[in-house]
This record gives sequence, C-alpha cells and structure tokens, in this order.
Amino acid sequence: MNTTINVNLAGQHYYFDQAAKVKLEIYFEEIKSYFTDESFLQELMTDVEARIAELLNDIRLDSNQVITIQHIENVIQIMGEPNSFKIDEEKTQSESETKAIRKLFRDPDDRFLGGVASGVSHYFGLQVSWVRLIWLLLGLFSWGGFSILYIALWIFVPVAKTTSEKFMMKGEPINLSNLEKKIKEEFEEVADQIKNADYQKAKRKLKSKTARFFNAFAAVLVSFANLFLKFLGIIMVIAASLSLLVIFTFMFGIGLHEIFDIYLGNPFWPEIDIMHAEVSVWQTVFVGLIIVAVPVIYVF
Amino acid sequence: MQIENTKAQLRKGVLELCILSILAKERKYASEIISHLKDAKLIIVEGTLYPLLTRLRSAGYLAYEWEESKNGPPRKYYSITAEGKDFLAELSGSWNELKDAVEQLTNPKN
Repeated sequence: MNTTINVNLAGQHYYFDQAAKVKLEIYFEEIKSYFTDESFLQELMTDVEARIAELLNDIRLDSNQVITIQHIENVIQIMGEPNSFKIDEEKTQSESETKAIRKLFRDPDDRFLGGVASGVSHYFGLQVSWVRLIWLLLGLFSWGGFSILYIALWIFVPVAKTTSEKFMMKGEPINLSNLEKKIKEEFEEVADQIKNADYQKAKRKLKSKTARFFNAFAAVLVSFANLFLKFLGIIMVIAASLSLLVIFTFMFGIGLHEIFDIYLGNPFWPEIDIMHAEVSVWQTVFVGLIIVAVPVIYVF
Repeated sequence: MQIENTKAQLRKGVLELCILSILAKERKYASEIISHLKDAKLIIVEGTLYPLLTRLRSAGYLAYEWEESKNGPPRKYYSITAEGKDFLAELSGSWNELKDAVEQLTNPKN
C-alpha cells in the first residue's frame, strides 16, 4: 500500500508518491538557496513551477498517473541541477553564506501544544524546557492571562514548513552545505519510516493468531480509551460552560440584589463579603476553564 | 579549471543578448524560447534560462502577460519593451565589437 499526495503545481493537480514529493521539494529548496531577493524568487519559482507542470503533463500518460521519483529525475535532467540556476557565481555564493536571518516560527518537530515554546526558544537561543517552565509559571501567576497570549501566538505565528524557514527559525545561515545536511536528515527520516514499515510488515507475518487476537483486543481498548477521552472532553466542556452560565446568572442576581438593597433597603439580602467570595469563585472557574479548555481543544 | 565550466560561462555571457533577439520579433512563452535556444545549442538545461528571464523582466527590458492554455498550466508570454530594444541595440553593438576583437586575435591574417 502506497500513500499518494495531492500536489498543486501552477494550478494543476498531480498525484505524487512520497519520495517524489520530497525530491521535488529538495530541488526547489536548493534553487531558492541561490537567491536572496524575495520578489525575484517568487517570480522565478512561478515560472519554474509552470514549466515543471508542463513537463509532467508531457511525461505522464493520463491525469491519474502517480508521479514517481523517476519522473522527477527526468524533469531534473531537462531542467538541470540546481546550480545551473546560478547567475553570478561568486556573488550569490558569498551572499548565501553570510545570510543568516532569524525569524519567529513555530517548530513543528518539537512541540508540546502548538510549538510556540520551542519557536520562542529558537528565537532567543534558550533551552526549550526553560521556556516551557517560564510559560507555565507566568500562566499560573497571571491567573491564566498568559494562556491568552500563548493562544494568540499559536494563531498568529506561522509554523516553519520549508527547510529554509526552519533555518530562519534557528537563525542558521541558508547555504548549500547546511541545506545538504538538512536534506540528508530528512531523507534518512523518510527512509527510516519506509524501513520501519517493512520491519513492521515482517513482524506482523511472524505473529501467531493469538498474538493477533491480543493486538486486536489492544486496538479495541485504545479506541475505547480514545472515545472515553473525547466523551470526557465533551462532558468537561459542557460542565464548564454550564457552570460559567450558572455563575454569570448568579452574579447578575447578586448585582440585582445589591441594587435592590440600595434602593429598597432590604435587610435580608446577603452582606458584601459573600459577594467577594462569589467573585473569587468566578475567577477560579474562569482560570480553571482556560486550563481545562486548552488541553480539551488539543485532544480534539 | 574545467573545460565544461568555461564553455558554460562563455555561453551564459551571450544568453541575454540571444533571449532579447528571440523576443525582438514576436512575443513568446518560456518553452518556445527554450526550444529556440536548444536548437541553437546555446543551452543544455533549461534551468539556466529562468533566472535570466526574471532578471531581464525586473530590469524592465521584458514584460509578460498570462494566457490560459487548453491543456496544461497557463502560459506566461514574454515580450520586449522599448527599453529592452535599446538595451538589445547596445548589447548587439558590443557583441559585434567583441566578435571582431576575438576574430582578430584568434585568426591573425597577416
């Protein structure tokens, strides 16, 4: 069983297998590494993408054929190795070697929730565990106020998708030797996955029927656990929103009572210190809601 | 020093002149320009062309317009601008000078 990936090139749809996609991505990244001007690069890559789409249309037999690594190699043979895109040999080389931009990205490879902490740690050159600890402490001491900042960062800071973005995230210069290193790592990762898949296949063949039964049993247990977690999450959300509603109503009621107290001078309504108690319950529940809601949203 | 590298450098030097000359007659899209250059054996791989097109475009010597294509991605048609024509005239002038100079040095008649 092979996974195919939907790829869009110059507005055209293609089915790629994983290795072909990786190969083409690496090709694009290497070409990009020779240029520094963003708008120039965008224009160039539009042209290159359109041409590659055209070549792939010529190569594939019909629009449903899956593009394999062999197809990409043929395309690269026609287009040329990335270094044939270089214009001025010395200039681009020295520029790319000194280019080290640091930008704030979320790190998809090292994340607890959204990769915000690891992104921040790359940006400031800190250890990620310290950043996480600081986040946690700030979150606790500000009564959840910092969770809102965290969520805002999660929403607005982009995730580092491409290899160049990952370099920018870590403030490493984008040059060929660095790119090669990174690309090799990524290739090995893919190869490992493939190897793992083979290994798992072999392992599965060796397993007896009883083992298979236990596996199925475990799978059922896991899915039950998942279901239970989701159920728990839903209940938590419902409970939290209900209690929030109740507390709002209650506070509104107390506020009204207070008004009545002032205008009608009713001596039976509760004293001010009970009000204080209610407000602090409201705060606690609000903070609790945020603490509960964030993981619950993540579970989904 | 590799001979192939030197050859590639020689070709690259005159490529911009050739691209502008190809477009001087009529507008063309990238693949057409490529087939002209390939026929003349000026480029071996296509990758060489694209950065040059982009550079000539951002310098204002070329303009482009998109056109839908029935089978395949939309095509980007390049055409030469007035500035591009001036630039081409200047480049052709210096090419002729260079050609004469090289001729004179490599094939001395007397």
